Amino acid sequence: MNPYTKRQIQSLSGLWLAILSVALVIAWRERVVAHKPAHLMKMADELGWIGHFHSGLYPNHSNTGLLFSQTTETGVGVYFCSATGGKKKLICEQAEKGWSWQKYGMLGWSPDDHFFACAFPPNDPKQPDEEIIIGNGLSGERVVTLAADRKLSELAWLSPGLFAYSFWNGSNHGVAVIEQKPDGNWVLTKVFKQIGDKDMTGLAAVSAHSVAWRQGPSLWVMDLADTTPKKIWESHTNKLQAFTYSDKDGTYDLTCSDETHWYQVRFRPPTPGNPQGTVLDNLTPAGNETTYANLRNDGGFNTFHINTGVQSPPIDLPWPGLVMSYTMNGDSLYVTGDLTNQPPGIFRYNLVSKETTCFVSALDHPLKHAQIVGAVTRTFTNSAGKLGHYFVWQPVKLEAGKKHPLIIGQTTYNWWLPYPQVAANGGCYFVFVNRPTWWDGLENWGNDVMQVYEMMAKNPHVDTNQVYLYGMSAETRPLSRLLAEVPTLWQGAILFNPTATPDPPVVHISKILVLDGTADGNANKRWPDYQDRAVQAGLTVKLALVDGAQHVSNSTANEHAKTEQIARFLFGD
Amino acid sequence: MLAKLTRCFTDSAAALLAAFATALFIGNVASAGLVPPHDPVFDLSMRLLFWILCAGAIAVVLVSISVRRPPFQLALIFCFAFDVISYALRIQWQGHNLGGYLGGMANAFDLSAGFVNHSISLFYLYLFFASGALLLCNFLAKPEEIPLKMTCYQCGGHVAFSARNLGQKIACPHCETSITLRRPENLKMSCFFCHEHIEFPVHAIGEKIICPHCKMDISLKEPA
Repeated sequence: MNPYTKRQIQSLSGLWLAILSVALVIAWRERVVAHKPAHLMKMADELGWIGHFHSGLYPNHSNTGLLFSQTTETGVGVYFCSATGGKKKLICEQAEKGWSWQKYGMLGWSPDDHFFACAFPPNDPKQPDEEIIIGNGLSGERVVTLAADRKLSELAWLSPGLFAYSFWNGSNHGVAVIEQKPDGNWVLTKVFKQIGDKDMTGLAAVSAHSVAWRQGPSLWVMDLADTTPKKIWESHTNKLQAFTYSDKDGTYDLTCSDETHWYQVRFRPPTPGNPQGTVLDNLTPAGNETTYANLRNDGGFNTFHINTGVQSPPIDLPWPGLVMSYTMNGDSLYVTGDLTNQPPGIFRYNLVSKETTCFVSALDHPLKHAQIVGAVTRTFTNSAGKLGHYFVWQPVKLEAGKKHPLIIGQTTYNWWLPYPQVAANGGCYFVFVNRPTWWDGLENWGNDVMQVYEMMAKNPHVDTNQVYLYGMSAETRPLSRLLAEVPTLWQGAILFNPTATPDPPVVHISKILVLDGTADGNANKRWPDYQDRAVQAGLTVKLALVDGAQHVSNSTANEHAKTEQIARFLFGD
Repeated sequence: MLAKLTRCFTDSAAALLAAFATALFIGNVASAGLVPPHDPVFDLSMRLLFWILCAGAIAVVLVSISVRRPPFQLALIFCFAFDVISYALRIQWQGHNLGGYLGGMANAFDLSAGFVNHSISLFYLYLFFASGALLLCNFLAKPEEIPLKMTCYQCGGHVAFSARNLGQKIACPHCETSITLRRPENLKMSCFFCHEHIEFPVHAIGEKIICPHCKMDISLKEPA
């Protein structure tokens, strides 16, 4: 080789080596990416966009239309769905920012089903008043938007073109009446400013010109032609929890409770001839002539007990899935939740045909890459010796001899979440130990999780070297405690909207995901500060702050962003 | 020997720095969407700091593979390694663990943060000590032989070569004409007519001139 060629090759050797080393690094990264579940981000994308339903189902009187609330891309919307058309129609929407559970009100249907109405806070912060939206009961089109009092509380239809709503004026509750005039315009006709105190609740129409409500232990009625409300019932020993009025026979069914029991009392209101009113019957739990449904949960298994009236025997309807809310309307039971291996939706069980159909699905498009994984319910005996249950989402593909990571937490599982779905689709076990209510049992978080972890660890498919703890909000406090008390079992932790975080020096896990929204208190400052402290201690903290998300996410865009972060955390960036 | 060693080192440093810059780049891209921690020294976002480090490493790589001045290359690598090591020592002196800062990059390659931390520490220690030692040796060593340069008589292209290769016949790297490696002084020939000596530069071979002695037309030829 001549010297010049030799020198040329020599001068390029550094370049070739550099190119080779870059190629090696890229190849390594490709190898890591290749080990991720196939279509991981596409799965997370599909699952993250599945909208959540909010509590509250409002079928019309004839079961031909339904109002419900569901998350939209940017917030929460009220939807109309016709039984004949089947397609949902967005009536109004509120952006997540400024969303308030208290401000949202559903008026429901006019007695003839021609109108429906709902109340929403305005999206424009400059506009002080809430809006009452009246819609066409057949088409779902918005008919009119009315400005209501800012502190609107509850609404009640009096007749097809007349409704009343209660409002809070800062010290008292008042009642206002809106009426449709012959020219079709809806106008505010009456305002009663001081009607009830702060406990006034349960506004309901009693007739076309009177409303009733509950206030502490008493039941009040007011004729809208008269300005003086009248107390018609007061419970001295029990609490009045709820009431319904039957305009057929002019009686009230009162739901009362004491420390140990619940009672149903049927009560005829006072008349000039009978100023005290009459207790007609003590019902347990309600009259036989009406249809109603009760949900029972035995060991994590849901069953509806449906009283079908005097004509036919009761029905026990097992419900293999989640129940968020339900309502009985004539011969139909509407359930928001899911059924095994089905996406969340609103389901209708027909008492006559005994068929369950999906009335509204949360899925707008069929899933291409992901699949819905149903939770398996299992029981265990907790440290207090009580029977509890937990939900297990198994990996979609269980391969012989392969071990799968486990994500475990204890929560009140009463709304659909995409995170267990992403984990299961990606090849992880996801376990929620059930907690009956949000606060009841939170103190047993660590014990329950340990108990179920030990059971899951016996499963040969579970990789005990890759166990992650999962907690949201107040659950992050006991989670942090468990991480400190039993530091060696866990590979990492997922903290959703945390209120507490693990103390970096005493935690020995390899990585933590802190997931919160920028609109959740001072998350913008608090979590970066924590991240800096934790990172300085050698802990890898992945911090994701979803723009505009509050403590509880109320838009699919934010849920989608969180779902993607979970997927990235579990299966690699 | 020293030149060879220096060359080996600068090549290996370029390769390792290129790998390091690529890993930083991938780590930063993979952690997009996450809030990066802040560095405790400059209070910059770690992502920004990694981009700066990545750009610095690429600059050193480019210099290492394109510039052929070993002392300059070594000094640059030494300074870069010194800066990075000083920064790391400063962080550790503050009682912080470097592993936490490298977690994002480690995850992108499915490695533990501790392993990445140790690997990078070793890598920079290698750059620092090796470049320092070679710089010292280069400083103490005799100046290297300056290569000779000549011009190809056919194409006029410059050819550099070692004095050891004087007299060898090679193909010109530019035009592939067979040439003899010679000192770059003038050539001498005798006039075909008057036999007087004529001195001329190499690039004049083949040209027709008038003999300065007998005024006859002659062609300048390479001496046999």
